[in-house]
Amino acid sequence: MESDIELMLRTKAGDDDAFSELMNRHYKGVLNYIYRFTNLKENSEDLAQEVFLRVYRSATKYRPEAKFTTWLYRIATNVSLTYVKKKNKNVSLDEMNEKTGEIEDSGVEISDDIIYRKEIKNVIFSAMESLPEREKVAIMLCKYEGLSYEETADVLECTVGAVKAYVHRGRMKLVNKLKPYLTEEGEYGV
Amino acid sequence: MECKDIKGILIQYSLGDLGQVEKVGVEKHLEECNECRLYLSQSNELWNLLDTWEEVEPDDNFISQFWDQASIDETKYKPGFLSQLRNFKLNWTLAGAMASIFLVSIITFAVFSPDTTNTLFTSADEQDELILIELDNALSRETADVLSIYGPWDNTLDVNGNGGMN
Repeated sequence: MESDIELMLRTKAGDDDAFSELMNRHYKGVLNYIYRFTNLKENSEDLAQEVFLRVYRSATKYRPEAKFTTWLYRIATNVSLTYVKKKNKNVSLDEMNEKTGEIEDSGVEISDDIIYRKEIKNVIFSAMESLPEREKVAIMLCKYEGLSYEETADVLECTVGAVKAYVHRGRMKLVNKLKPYLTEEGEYGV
Repeated sequence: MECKDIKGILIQYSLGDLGQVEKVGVEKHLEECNECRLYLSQSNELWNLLDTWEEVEPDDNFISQFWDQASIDETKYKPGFLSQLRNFKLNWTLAGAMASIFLVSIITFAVFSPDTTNTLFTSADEQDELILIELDNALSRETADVLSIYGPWDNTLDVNGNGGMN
């Protein structure tokens, strides 16, 4: 199987099929990465397309110096953060207060697994959104996209040690924010 | 080790990133401390809880949608001459190379081009010279013929200035 770099070099040479193959490999990952920033599927589709358009437009300048995925996720991070910042600017004060309301007070009645999962998705999203940018990105890349600490460090342009610290701090904050959903025995569930 | 220190390295412990001494220290502490044990189990539990945030599936035709968008994008953002000019960025390496080539060309031309200022006498000039000499001789002969009507020159003059030419 051809590597991502080989496919990107073929794209650079004008082979659009190679780029379609790259999208087949990474589109879902990028879509879900953005989805976890926005919590809206439709917007995530548009933004994922935007990410790949940017990659496609930059193909002529592509140099195989870094791993393709780190470059891709760096673009995806920029697109997502720009979107979130723009969106938050347009959110009214009331909406903002509503959004940052205490998670602990949500008092969800967990009666059904589906309802629980739907609810927990929103709760995790809110908890993630409240994290500092770098902690959020580090957790998303390591946890959901399966990137190594080294690759995440490349995306965030920092050291591996810094990534470990971001993940650790973020994780501890999430434990505190999501405590109502964690059992005292260490087993959550319905 | 204190609870505060343990909590600071629990993630590394669960990732297996700790050295043997620290690892044994953490394990010993966990056996005795309920709070840290709970903290570790909740941290691991949180990591599993994050998995409940399910993935979304992309649209089936996302690739064709992409290429449609790419073709629209290409037409929309095709740069005109003015925008190309606005976006023109000087490539200093290329500019330096071009300037060097230009200078070398000028110097080469100056050194090796034929020096016309030092060519004084050509065969054409020689012919012109002969024509001029002939013309000069012809004029001299004509002048002598014209003057002969006055007869031979007489240089003898009297005291009162009379005499000379008759």
